[in-house]
Amino acid sequence: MIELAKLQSEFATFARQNEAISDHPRSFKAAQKIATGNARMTPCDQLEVYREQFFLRHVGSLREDFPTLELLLGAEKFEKMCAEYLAAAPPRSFALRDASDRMGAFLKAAAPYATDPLLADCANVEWAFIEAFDAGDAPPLDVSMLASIDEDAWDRAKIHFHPSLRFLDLSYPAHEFRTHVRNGEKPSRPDAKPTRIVAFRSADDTLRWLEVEPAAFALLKSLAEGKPLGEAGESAAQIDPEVGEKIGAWFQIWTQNGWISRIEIDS
Amino acid sequence: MNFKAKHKIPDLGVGIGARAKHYAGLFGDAPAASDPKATLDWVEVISENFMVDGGRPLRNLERLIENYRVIPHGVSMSIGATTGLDTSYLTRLKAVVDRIKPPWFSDHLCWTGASGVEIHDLLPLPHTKETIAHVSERIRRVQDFVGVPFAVENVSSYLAYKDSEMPEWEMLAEIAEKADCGILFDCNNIYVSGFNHGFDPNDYVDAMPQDRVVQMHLAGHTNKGAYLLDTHSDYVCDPVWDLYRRALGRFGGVSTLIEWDEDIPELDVVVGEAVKAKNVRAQMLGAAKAPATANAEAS
Repeated sequence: MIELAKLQSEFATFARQNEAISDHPRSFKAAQKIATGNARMTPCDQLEVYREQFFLRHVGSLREDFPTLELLLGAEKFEKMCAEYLAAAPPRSFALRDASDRMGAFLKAAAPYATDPLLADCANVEWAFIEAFDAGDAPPLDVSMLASIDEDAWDRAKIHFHPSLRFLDLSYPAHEFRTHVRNGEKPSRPDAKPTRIVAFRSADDTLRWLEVEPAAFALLKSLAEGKPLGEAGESAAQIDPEVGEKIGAWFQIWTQNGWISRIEIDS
Repeated sequence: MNFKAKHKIPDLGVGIGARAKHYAGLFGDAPAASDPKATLDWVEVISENFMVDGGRPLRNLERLIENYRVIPHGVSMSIGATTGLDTSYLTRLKAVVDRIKPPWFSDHLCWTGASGVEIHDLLPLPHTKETIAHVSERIRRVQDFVGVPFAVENVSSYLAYKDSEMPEWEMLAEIAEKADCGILFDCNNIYVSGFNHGFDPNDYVDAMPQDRVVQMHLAGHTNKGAYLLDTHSDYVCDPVWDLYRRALGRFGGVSTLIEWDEDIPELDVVVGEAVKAKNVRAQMLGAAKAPATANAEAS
């Protein structure tokens, strides 16, 4: 009798291998050891049902999550890419949704996909929206508290953002491309254009994005990392010396979009 | 005292699996000829869909709870896995259960991954004494942690293990006994596995401990020629309805659920299957034993 842990480990390995069970000497041998087979199915056929289902289920989920990648690659190359991705980044979470979490990193690093940065950009945009969809909730900023902050205290202010915010530094406007694809269109490949966006979930649970200028993007990221406003503003001013004049208008946009949840003054 | 009496497990009547495609109809935001709120006695939700931090899923769950009796049903507990129980998973599951406050929650008699890799499938277990000891001990721990009675569901399988020492029904009954948990009896899974492994599904029904069957599932499957695949993509077939009749005859009134997860049709079609189940229940149990809301089936 095979010990349960060993049986499960072997089964799980074979159930996600790229080759058919009967084409691979090790899985062929293991299938004979594990399964009985029956009058209609050999032991390999029985194990093969699970291997097929693994790919159908995961490629189906990846197809749903990354329609932009399927459009760019074509159906056949998309499936091949998915098989390579699943081998390189096997699912680690109980949630099928999380099987998509490393697609951007995979496409950025793996040949031949790494030569086309639009692929990783599209994957990162899609994943940002997946995360924003069910990220935590947070109440909007109580703007009445702004009046209670002393002017000289703002440098020490720490800004807490809504948990759904995702900051994306893109080489292509992949977010616009995504919008067209999700609307059922077949847009042509966009031209390269450095773009910084914030993906977020608005108060009515709609997924949205907003393009932001480089200095605002740097400021947002520094604040999200927990830096106080004074220090974050100084870093952003290295990109744009007019940050001081612009920051009031930026805060207004951020507040209107529900990005700021809380302001804390470090004592 | 038997399991159902001890935990005051109710017969909720007939419900359907609540799926996102049907939310508007279930909430009454979109027209549905079948009037689901009046017809359905309860709905089942997939626990993992609500094990999230926030956003629309939790808003939808709140609306389901406002409108229906809700029972959480999981697909990823991996109760038969040999890796340790996933405490992060169980903590999130408990949060969902606490939010719903159901009389029971359920998952499958299976494993879903090994060595840190998730297969996201309901993988079968060998029918052995080792499996019984292993799974029943884990169910006890899960049940203690969540603090609500647990029901374990039989899965469809496509592979029979050489190491199996007994029929599946014997293993399931013994696990439920040793773990002191309930059974979610899936009629379609038994029919599918019966075809795939050449056993008589009626033997399965007859071997179940009646007092532990807290819920039944009905669903459609796909005939792949050499085997049946549990796809939940079609109407419940006649032999499965026959099995359901036999199960009702043996278990009495047990909460029953229609599952439809692939090629999901309009809500009215799924509710129509629920109405059919209500009719079968009424025939088998007598109208007097049907739950109060069952009279809506005539609408």
